[in-house]
Amino acid sequence: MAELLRLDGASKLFGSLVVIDDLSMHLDEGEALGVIGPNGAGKTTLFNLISGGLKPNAGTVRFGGRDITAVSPHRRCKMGIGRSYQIPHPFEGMTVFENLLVGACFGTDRAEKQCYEPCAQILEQTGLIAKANRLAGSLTLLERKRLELARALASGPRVLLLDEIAGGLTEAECSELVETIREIRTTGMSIIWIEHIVHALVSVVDRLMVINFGRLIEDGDPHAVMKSPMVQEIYMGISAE
Amino acid sequence: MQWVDTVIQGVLLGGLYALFATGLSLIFGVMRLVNIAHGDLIVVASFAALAVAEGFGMHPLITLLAVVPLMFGLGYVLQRGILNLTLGKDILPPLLVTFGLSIIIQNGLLEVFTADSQKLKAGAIETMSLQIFGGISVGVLPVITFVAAVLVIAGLQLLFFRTMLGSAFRATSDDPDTARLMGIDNRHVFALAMAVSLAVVALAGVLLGVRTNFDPSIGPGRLLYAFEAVIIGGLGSLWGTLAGGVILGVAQSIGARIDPGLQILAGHIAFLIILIVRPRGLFPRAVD
Repeated sequence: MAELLRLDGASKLFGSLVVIDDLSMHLDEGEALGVIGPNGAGKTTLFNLISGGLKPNAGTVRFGGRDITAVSPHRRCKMGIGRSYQIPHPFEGMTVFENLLVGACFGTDRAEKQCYEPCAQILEQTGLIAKANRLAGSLTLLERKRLELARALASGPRVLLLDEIAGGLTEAECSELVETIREIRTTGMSIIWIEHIVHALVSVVDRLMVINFGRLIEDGDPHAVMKSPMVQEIYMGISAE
Repeated sequence: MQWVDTVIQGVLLGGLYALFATGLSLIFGVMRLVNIAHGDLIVVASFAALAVAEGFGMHPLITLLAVVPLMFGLGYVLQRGILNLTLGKDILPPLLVTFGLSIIIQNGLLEVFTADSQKLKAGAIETMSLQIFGGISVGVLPVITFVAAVLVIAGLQLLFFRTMLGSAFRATSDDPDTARLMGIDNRHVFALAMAVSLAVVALAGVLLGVRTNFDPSIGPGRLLYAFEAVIIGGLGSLWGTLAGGVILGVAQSIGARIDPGLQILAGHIAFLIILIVRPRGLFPRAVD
């Protein structure tokens, strides 16, 4: 499979605090990669380096064979990096449909009219079609999480970055959302998914990556990774608190 | 009947104040930037119209064809070149920079145009009036000004809620970081917002220059009226800004009727009363 995304020796410092430490990783076209690690391990910072919200202090980010380390976030979105936030950030003063329309029109540079159809399809797919004309500010948490996913999809991504999209949901809501993500996977969409709810993650991804203190600890088959002693110690030790 | 006349004149004056305020309201709405130089930019537009009118022997209202695009371009360059660099979590840098800009503009105008009081000479239209009911007559220019204010605000409302550029304005206003992740170039969107704001300022400046005398020092006074209109109407609401301008205009007009010296004070008192009764203005935005 062709390589879609690659980080080489990426480091990010906040002052003297090293958040990402010489981290290298890659994602193939069509692959679903899960990312786990304790709180503060640098998972969300990793996403910010990929989506362009933060620039690495060292190392490079490559996407589709191009070095995008210096490319601004809105250009990366147009290139096909779609991102959802851990804490949903809908455009609250706009309707659900308008939220998607913004992603579709500016993320893909299509004319407004050509975006209606795909946006409606995505609303259908993500179970938000009945809420299309509601103000995004009035949605429940599950609906906001779905909107994060829908809006990222509307921007026409080649890779979807999901940041704890199942976090904070009830068990039933979580499995509903996992079902939606599994459906999206059937279209061949590449995904990187950060999640604390490991069983949800393992049921979807092809490969699992563990990071701690901004470093790559383990990378491989999800079940094998979960069984490795280092993960048991670092990750389970902390999550059992 | 005299009082009816007073109120009508006040409403029409309010149209001019609404035009002063619309650009300010738009900029604050889109990027939370308080443009202290707004009043001085209105005066820049008046002087630009003066230069074009005298240079080419044009009617002041025709100069709009040149002044509006000029100010639109100036707005884009100003935002892209300077003001974008000041935007961030801290609200102080844009205040300081636009305050400095205000001083630079006043002194620059003083250098080029001197402190002499100027007026845009519009000829016969200045004194034309229309008879409406009950023997009340209204000036043609104030009517044009008011209609222009309504059209500008209606146009901006359409721009905001019926176009993708408007969606980009609203999305960036809601959450600039997320807007960037949706493929929106903030710097460009902000620059376009400032360009639109200054296009409205151009119209306000020309109509101001036709209505009254102006000199390089009157900017801050216009800024004050603009601020009051925006705050009376409720931050970020364009129709509210029109209502704010009208309330200010009517209050000043009534004040002037009671005692000519009371005109300005009456406007400020009306503003204070509304600030006490409705601290968030008459039409505050639901989400903020």
